[in-house]
Amino acid sequence: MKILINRSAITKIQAAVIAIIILVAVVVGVYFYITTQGPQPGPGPTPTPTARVVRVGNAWPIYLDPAVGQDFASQRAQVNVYDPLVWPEPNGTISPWVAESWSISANGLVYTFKIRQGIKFHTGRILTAYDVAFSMNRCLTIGVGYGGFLWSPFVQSAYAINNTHVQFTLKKTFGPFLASLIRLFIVDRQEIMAHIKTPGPYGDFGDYATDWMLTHDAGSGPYKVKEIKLQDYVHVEKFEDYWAGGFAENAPTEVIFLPTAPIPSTQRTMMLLKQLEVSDQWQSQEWLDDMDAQPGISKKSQPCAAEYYYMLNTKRPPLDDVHVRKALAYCFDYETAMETIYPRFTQARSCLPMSLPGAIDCQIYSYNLTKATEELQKSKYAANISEYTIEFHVMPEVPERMRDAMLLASEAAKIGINIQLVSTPWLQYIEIMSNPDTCPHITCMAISAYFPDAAFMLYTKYHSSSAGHVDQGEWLLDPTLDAMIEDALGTLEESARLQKVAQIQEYIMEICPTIFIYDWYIVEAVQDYVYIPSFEDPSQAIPVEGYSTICRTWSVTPP
Amino acid sequence: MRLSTYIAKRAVYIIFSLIGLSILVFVLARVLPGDPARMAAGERAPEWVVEQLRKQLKLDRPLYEQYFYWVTNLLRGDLGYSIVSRRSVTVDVLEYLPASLELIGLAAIFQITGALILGAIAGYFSYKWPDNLLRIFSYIGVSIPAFVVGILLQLIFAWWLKIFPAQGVLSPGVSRPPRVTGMYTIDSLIAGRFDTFLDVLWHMVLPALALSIGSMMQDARIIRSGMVENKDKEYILLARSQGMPERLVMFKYLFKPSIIPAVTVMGLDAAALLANAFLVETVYYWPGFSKLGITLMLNKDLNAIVALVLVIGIIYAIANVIVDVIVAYLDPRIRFVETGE
Repeated sequence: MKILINRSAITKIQAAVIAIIILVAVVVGVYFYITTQGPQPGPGPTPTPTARVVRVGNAWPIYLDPAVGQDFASQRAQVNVYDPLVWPEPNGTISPWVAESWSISANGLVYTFKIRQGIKFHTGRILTAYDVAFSMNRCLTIGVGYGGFLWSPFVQSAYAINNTHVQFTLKKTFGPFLASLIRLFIVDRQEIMAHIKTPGPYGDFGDYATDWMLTHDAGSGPYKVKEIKLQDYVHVEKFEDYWAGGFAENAPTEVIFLPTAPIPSTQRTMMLLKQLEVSDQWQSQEWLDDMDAQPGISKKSQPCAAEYYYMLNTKRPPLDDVHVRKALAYCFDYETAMETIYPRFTQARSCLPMSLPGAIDCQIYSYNLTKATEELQKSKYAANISEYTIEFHVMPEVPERMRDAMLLASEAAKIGINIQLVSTPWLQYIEIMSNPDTCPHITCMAISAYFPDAAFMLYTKYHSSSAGHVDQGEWLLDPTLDAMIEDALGTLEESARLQKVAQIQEYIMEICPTIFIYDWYIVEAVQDYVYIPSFEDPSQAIPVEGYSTICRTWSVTPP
Repeated sequence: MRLSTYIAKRAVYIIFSLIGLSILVFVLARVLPGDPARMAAGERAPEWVVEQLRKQLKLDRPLYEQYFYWVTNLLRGDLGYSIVSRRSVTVDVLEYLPASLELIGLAAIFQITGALILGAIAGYFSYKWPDNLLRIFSYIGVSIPAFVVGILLQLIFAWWLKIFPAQGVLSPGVSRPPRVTGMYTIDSLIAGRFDTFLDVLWHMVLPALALSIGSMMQDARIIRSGMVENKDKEYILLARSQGMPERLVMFKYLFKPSIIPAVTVMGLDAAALLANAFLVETVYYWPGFSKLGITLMLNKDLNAIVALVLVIGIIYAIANVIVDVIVAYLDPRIRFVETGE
């Protein structure tokens, strides 16, 4: 037994020595391996070592195909890869871009565009009027992007007269048509045709190359696709033959759009480790303040034509009474909300964001419980308002909104209006809003202008054709308002159209279908070594979704 | 019953389970709120576009007909069209599943080896300080969700100590190996790039650890309980009284029978790692199947949701069979009980 124990003891010592040697070797090996690595690695693709890279936080999915993507995440990438027919200026006017000039027929139904010569697609082909007509027809046929809701109600046909001229014929006069063309991104017709798959849902055009366009581009913009890995990143690189130039001296040579939204802590770590240059715009005030306090990172903002609304369902009692709606509008403590919850935004002054040309300051509601009580007394529900429970549905995906909803509920309770807060996920939100009977009393939503035109934003927000969509939880169905909006939309002359837009804003303010909370700003955390002109000088900001991210104007000087 | 007969019988059970699962998930996915055609077309799309999509996706057909189409396509290897990625779900599964599998593979190794070592230590030193310490860590490990552990590990090891990367699969300057299996580690070895292999492993450590800690602690507790229970059994006393070396008693007579209950749980826990990886993959920016799953579910991507659950179900079923076989191998009584022999 003794011998056994001794043998065992020797074996144990030997084993322990071997184990220690192996452990030390592993630790030393790992240490050297780690210390010989370069800078902190990051998610996404591997950029070219000599590249000036900017990694931009974004949401996913990103549909780079201009006939499909119409959300912020997609547009942010699209404006860097494609060229629009016309270009929006910071002051809301429209400038020539792919279209060098244009003429409009006297009846406002025929638009003829002269196409700029010498624009090269990323493939090296020359952009012609045939590509422009093809791009519009593709959008109209596919229908899921802007083609469906923006152009199909108005555009009769699009055809190329020759290589340099394209003509659009409208079904009816549409004053903002020219401005809407900032969303018409031109695709390389031959490239698309070379990649269609048949059979597909679009007849002779098969799938219209929608499958191929998921991971490729057919554009002529300042950046071209290097690699797209769905759900992971969109990696683009500078297009050296870009016709318009305009690259800043230290403009990024590569841009990577990374989906970062779901976990704030992940995005925080990425910013701190300098794995992300520009954050996404969906972070809370606390997150942004925290980032701003970090060395080398700043919180930046620029205007965006979007507004946050409380939409009051005018078809559900007691909100079918304008006085109850007005009472609620007077109940909301706007100043407290802006100071404590949303200091990064500005209080709304109209039913349109003030950065949209044509918006007028017509806000007539402020926090005033005396007036709220007076309005309530005028309503037919004055005697029995306590019998009603007003449901206010808030999306849990945006936790901040529960705070301002609670603010309204607590103030409304002071005048006897009972508001019950209900947490409703986004998917259910879309479903219940589609019917006036299931649409809650109050829903809240931030809505942006699709292009810089006030009349069209009023159309998508308040026209009866919008009822049932997430843009309109008010279910107004007001023939008077419809007629006013249609009249404004059909007015070609801009100043006349804006005059009508002003009257509509005052009318809406008076019937109070909505409580107007704040004008949206794009607020993001940015590394100090990235210079973004539209953040530094708001007068250079183009307040339209997507156009806030013109990467060729940025400068990158990594430390 | 012979082991091969036993395995065949289990395989038949699996087929029926998967058919049942597919019907259940297919129906459940379709009663969730939200119109998938509307989601696919966009909130502002006109009704004709939504209708067109509804027909294209066959959502205008009765439920049983939809299921029939789905099964027919499934037998051809087509899991249907994803409204989010806008391509075949089969392509998405093939693209993203391998990365998840290698992550949960490493997590399973951590989980099983960690559980065996910690469980054995706690069981051997029962009611002493190593056991008490493990008990405290077990409660913490089991009660904290994997994604919270992930964030904590990220904070400590990536941000403060800077010894592991915070996210991603590869370091800057390291290019992706040519895709063969879709698993970064295997593809690196196939390409003969050992440095890339090490780099991927280095990136996998934190997410795999975050994924494995909860089940590792739970399994360790089960092993420890088994050992404590068996420790005072007569055959152990007999072995010790006969002067058998303690190492032999410990590993051959005490440890082996004590891990049988834990093997079942460990196997199922390992399979469940894929389902648990949803948020961990998001936190670590791991380009896997689970990260994709979150987006698909939030967008009510019917075909993709069904495919996702089915894939997890298949992995679970396979793990179940493997566990049954191992247990039957370790303890032949189980095979005989099934047939009443």
